[in-house]
Amino acid sequence: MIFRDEAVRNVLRTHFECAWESLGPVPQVRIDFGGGDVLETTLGGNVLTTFCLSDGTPFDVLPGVVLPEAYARAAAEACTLAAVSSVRTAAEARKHLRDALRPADSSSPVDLGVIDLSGVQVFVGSTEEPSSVPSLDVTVSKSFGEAPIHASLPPPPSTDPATLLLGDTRKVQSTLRPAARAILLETENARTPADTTPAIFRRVLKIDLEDRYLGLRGVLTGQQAGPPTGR
Amino acid sequence: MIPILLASLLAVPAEESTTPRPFDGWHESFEEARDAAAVSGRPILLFELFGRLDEERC
Repeated sequence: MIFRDEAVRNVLRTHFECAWESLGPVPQVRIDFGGGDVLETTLGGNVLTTFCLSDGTPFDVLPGVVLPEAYARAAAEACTLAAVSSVRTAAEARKHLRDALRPADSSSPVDLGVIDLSGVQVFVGSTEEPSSVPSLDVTVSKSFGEAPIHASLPPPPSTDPATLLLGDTRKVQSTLRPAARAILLETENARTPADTTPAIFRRVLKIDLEDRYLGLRGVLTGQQAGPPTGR
Repeated sequence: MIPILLASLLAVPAEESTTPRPFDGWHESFEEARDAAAVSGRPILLFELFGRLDEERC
């Protein structure tokens, strides 16, 4: 849905070298309740977008799924950061990101979900606030602290997709992206997305990429996750 | 044989869709994108997911 949006496609096609990589097959969940009642679904929605300079060093991230308008804006902001003339390295780009995230009132804590590029004189696309992008919600989403398996499961099919995507966007902007950006900013020697992706998945999206069970085995069985023992 | 040849000559080729696919021009690895970016100078956008992008409803 995101990449079929015209605004998103225009920004990406014009300003980026775009790549996608699979982290593995889509995990399947099957719960047999007996009597022929079986629940089958997939663990979806755990995606990560990493913005990198042309040498591959990451300087901004966007975890999760958001509205196309929000995705296009994030991409435009990243492109603006990369285009700042003084940026030669990802460390400098991350410094610009940190500075852009710093509120005018320096006594206030940095809000890693809000980016202010109003002072940057580089134009890469529309800077208008998309009307359908939700306002930033500083309230920590209740679901963020819930069990990983619950967070990983797709929503019930009866729920309105547009409403769900709006909720996902708010969750990304209020909690997931700030947390992912914090990891990126603390990983100062990151040279490729591979240096930051595992930590962002583990700490923000609650998925352990180094575990064949993605860190969910203990959640599903009620046991502490241990080394893989085979199927 | 003749009817078959005639049919093949008269067959109208299936009309190819002119609508660009959303992932046309995407690289299928980060390294490939980095090589292209080294030439174009563009920043890189890497999208990581479970499954395949061209099979998902992204």
